[in-house]
Amino acid sequence: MVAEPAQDQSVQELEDKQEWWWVAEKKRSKRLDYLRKSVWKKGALGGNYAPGIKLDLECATLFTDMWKFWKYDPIMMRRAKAIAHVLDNKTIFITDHSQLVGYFGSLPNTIMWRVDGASMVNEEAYNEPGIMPEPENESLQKVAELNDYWAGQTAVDKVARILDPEDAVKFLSGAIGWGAPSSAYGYSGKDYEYLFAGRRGFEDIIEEINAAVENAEDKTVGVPGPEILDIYDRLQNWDAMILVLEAGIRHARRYARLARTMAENMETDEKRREELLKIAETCERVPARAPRNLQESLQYDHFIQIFARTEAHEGAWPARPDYYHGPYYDKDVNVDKTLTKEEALDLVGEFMIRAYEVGGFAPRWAREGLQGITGTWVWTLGGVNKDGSDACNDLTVAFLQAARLVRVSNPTFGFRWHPKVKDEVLRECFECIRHGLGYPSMRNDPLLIQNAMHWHGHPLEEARTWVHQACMSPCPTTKHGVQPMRMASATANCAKMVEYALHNGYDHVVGMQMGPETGDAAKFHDFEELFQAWVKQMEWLTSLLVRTVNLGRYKDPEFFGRPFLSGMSERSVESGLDVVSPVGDRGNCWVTAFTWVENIDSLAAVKKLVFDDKKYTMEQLLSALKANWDGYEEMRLDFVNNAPKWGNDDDYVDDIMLRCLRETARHSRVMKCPSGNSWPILPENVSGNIHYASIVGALPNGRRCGDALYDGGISPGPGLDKKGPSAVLKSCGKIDHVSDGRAFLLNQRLSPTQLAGEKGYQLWKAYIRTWADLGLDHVQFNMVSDETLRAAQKDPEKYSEVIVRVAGYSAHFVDISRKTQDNIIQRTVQGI
Amino acid sequence: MSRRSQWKQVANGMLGDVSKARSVEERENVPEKACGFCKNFSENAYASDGRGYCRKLKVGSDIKVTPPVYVMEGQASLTVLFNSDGAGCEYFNRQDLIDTDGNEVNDPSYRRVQRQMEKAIK
Amino acid sequence: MSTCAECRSFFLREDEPGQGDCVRRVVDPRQAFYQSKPVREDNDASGCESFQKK
Repeated sequence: MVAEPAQDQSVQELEDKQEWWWVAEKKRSKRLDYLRKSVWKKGALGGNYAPGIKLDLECATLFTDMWKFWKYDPIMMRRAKAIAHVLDNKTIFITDHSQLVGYFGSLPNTIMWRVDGASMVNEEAYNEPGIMPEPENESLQKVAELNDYWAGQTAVDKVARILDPEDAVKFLSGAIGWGAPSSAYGYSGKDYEYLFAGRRGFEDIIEEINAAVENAEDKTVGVPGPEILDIYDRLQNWDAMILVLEAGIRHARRYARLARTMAENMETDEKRREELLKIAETCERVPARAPRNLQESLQYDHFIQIFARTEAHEGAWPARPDYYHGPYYDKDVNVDKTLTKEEALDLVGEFMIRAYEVGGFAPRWAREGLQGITGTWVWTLGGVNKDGSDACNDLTVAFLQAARLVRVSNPTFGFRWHPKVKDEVLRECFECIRHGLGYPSMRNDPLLIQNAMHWHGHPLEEARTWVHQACMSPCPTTKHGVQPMRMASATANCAKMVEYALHNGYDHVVGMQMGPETGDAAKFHDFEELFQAWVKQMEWLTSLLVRTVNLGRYKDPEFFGRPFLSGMSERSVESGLDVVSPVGDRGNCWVTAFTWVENIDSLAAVKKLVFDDKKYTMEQLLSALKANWDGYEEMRLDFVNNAPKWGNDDDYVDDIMLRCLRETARHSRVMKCPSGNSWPILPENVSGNIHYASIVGALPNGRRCGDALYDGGISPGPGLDKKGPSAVLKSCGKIDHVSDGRAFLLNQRLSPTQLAGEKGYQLWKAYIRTWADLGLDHVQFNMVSDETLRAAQKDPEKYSEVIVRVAGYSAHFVDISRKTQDNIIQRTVQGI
Repeated sequence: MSRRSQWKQVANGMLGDVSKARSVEERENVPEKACGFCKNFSENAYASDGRGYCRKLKVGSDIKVTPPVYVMEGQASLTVLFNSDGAGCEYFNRQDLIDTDGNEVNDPSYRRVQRQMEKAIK
Repeated sequence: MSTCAECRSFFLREDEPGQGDCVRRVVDPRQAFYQSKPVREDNDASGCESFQKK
């Protein structure tokens, strides 16, 4: 199949050939076509930024200038003043044909640089090829000056200094996990119930803060006593919140002024002039006051996201746009009829494009682990209302339709499936998957609500508001339910658990004694000894990572400070506490378990071939592993082909999966977050399976150091699930998706040929029913043929818009490394 | 010595020298025998600011002094930068780099992604 | 000395005396846009490559 430009072919012809990217170009409006093609792609190509992408020095300099100036202020106030200075003075722009505005860099091709986050990231920015603005020498000098100023006083520097030195050394080795224990980076939850359901604009919030300040101030001039001492800090925090909220209002009005200037002085086209005046009116209204229509609502949401990202490098984008903007769509399109469906679709499509273009400078581990995208913008659609009724609305459908027109790889959607979802909505989900987007991922809503109540004690109504906090983990959007900050450093490279159990805790890749000494595996007499060693390594590894996050979370208000995000939180507005403070947060933590299934297949292989069949000794196995299987190829193939593998409905190995999960779930309850809640695991990978390929040593599942790891979650190893899709579902269905962990990612590849037409939809629908009946919480699909993917490898320019599901996110196929591409092609295509 | 003190020493050995402020010249300079050109250099997977481990030497080693101090046993590997000068190190072992722009995500042992390395090789 | 106030790209803010915006059209390799940056009317514009006398 050869992809050719679409001009000479009809939509029907292109649909028949399943060249959905050309279909999208033909079907979308001229506006969406222009805006989609105008985006500077910020996602890294493999590990590097695309040509033309430049580091944003303007914002970093403005921020640092003001940070230096207010050096005696408390940290929250100091940050608020620095952010306000950026918002008041950075360059802003309005792109031709756009109706929504706001970017967190100063120009469309710049990536924002979180200069106060981590000095090692700053140094990486200095060393990075291709991203220095011209003239390069001047930029290098500027970056060096900024780096020297921030060295030692960034948020991560401060945490690293007080971590236990053993934990710091092992964590920073890069072998066992990633992420930063600071809210400078991470995934911030938003209290959407307060903002959108509560219909509050920034002026409403400022009014509430002023009332709280007035009340508190009375106490500071009242009877002396210990109970008033922390009020002084709270007053500073409240002032900081007001300061940054006012800066946000001023920033929006800069856009209003620019749009009016353009309309009155530059624009000659009458229709565009009207659009510019509408932009001006919108930005004069929001974020100052609550939105009144769809454009204002989307613009308000976008401003909130941009301001939060001006304050910190946010790696995710928790959102539920159909639920919170749906009432405005209904009013504009169905009731007032001020917008046609097509006009609304343009706004919705642009809303997605505005998110797609957002990108900050990310460290290499994040770029390699999230190849092709800038963060996990997984937006939540569907689900239920607080009373349990179906929450899907016309805007749910509009988002699913717009996604097929703009075909962005970020944001993607996670769809909260439940039995009451109407057929017309489910069809729209399927069409997105059939078009090869890889999204929406399907989430089992009733089960995940139950899971949220089980692990973190969310009351039912609160649990029903959940959104994806990152790729997978549900988090409510309420006062006490929202987790304000997920710090990604509780991300475990779990394959190390079995590796360390086999090597007495020693890491041969980084040359360090990492885990506890659990004994010389050569002397283990039975599987039980190995399993108990694995349990100890699992406990050690997860505990170490959780300690770093707990400390980071506890110290964050002192080390970083989030005035804007605090102003978005009912809890902070009421209390005057930094939103990252655990006080009043119910706690919604999880350990992301990368490279999990390698443990299961490796343990099963040792049990079968060493202890049960006695075909090899432990000495032989350890020698083969130390040699990276070099010289042991026949033996390696035995471990690949003749040991049981997860995903084939084989109790021998599936029971090991359950034992591992249940031991980990037990330990999850032992570990506590700063709010006193549990730390369940959540197996998933993003593209960490490629990032960690050279960091995980040889394993008994037959994998060599350097080979890609499995694609993650509870997905079987690529090509190792030989018994069909039902067997995969049955294996996964043995897991208790409520009590064994927080969520479980499952990748499946389906055949686009088999799923063509109405019959295809019915087959898929029946599959989803089985998936739900078996009690799985997640599944996501790749539905692009090997033929297309191989053609894209040969001729990337012709296939630049082909999208694939990597793991927890989607990416354009041409943006991911060859190794990741091969890993996706290698996955079994399941006939259903 | 307490456990904490012992690991503090290791942490200082790993982190201390590479975090200090440096001039543009120091940052740009890639010596003829930079550690980044050595087969024993293993780029850190967490921080890609140019730091990495030496696969041969342990914490306590010092290749900047004459004669160099080589510590071959210990809890943790010596941390060096891609542009640390390995001229005096008897374990320096030059390797050909197969991926110097880092576009292909692969074994960090065989790539050096820093702009300065790219320039030095060209 | 030329000042920003004398430039065609300068737009005075009605509510902030002396303060204005430098509004310019930019066409980059992917998109066309108008950009705005705050400037004061008495800024020295003699070194500005984009200066265009009103």
